[in-house]
Amino acid sequence: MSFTPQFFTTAESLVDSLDKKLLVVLRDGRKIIGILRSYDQFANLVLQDSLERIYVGDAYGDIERGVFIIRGENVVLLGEIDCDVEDALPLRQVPIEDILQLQREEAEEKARKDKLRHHLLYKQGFSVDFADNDLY
Amino acid sequence: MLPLSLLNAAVGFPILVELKNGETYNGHLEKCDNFMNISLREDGDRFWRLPETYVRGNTIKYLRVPDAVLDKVKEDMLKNRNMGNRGGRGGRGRGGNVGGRGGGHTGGSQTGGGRGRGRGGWLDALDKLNDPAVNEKDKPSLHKDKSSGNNSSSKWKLNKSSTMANKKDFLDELRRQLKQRTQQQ
Repeated sequence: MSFTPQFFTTAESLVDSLDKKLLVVLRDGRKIIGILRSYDQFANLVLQDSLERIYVGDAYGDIERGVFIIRGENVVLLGEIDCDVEDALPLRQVPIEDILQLQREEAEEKARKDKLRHHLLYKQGFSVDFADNDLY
Repeated sequence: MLPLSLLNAAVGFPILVELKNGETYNGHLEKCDNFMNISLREDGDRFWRLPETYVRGNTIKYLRVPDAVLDKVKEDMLKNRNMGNRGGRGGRGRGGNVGGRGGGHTGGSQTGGGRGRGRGGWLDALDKLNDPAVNEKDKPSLHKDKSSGNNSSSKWKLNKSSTMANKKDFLDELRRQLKQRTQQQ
């Protein structure tokens, strides 16, 4: 791709993504959108003017977060945001309080379903482990 | 700049740390190291009220810092760049000038020793200008004598009413001399 020295032994370098608006997905399922200012060999990221975007169904809400220093091991993936396409989203933006409420309801619904599933599997002899991370 | 350097620059600022288990800690960043281990002061967590906190780097999910840190970092980098440039250029400039000019202006006691070195007639003349040991009438003049065409043996008489224009001529003459000398070398 570029002729700059590779910073880490993956096929792609992050230098091309510098000063670009990125969507970063963390292991806990959070989606952070921000401008990548710097990175290092561990893929620790510095994002500026970032916001946390919460998606529930066809709605989404943003929370302003400022400057993030994300530890590399918590990042699942990151992708460049096309600023033209970004404006024409099929989703509707809602205020923060509403999206948090929706998120809470979704979490409760999921918890109920999981409990039922766990119970049924347990009856069949299976044990279900609740992983507290890698919720993406 | 690197993320860890940014963290180092954020020392003293209030930050928010979220750990892998979801716990958040607020506080003023006291120290950090290359493993991202950090220590916080005051604030603590609103839940626990801790005056001091040490967090091991590998338990951190992310940190949030105020925007001011990024601005501060940019300023520091600009300042460092300016200082580096100015110091380098100034130093080289001073080295380029013939040492005699600086020696001539520094004072009588210093130039006394320097005169013996024989750097060239007009430079010695400059030394004599400032040297208090030399008699007034023997002092070289800022006003160049019309009779002395040869610069290396000139005795320039000091004209007490020398105006700015004369000084300018003198300085221009000096510069011309310097160019000649550097070309000769």
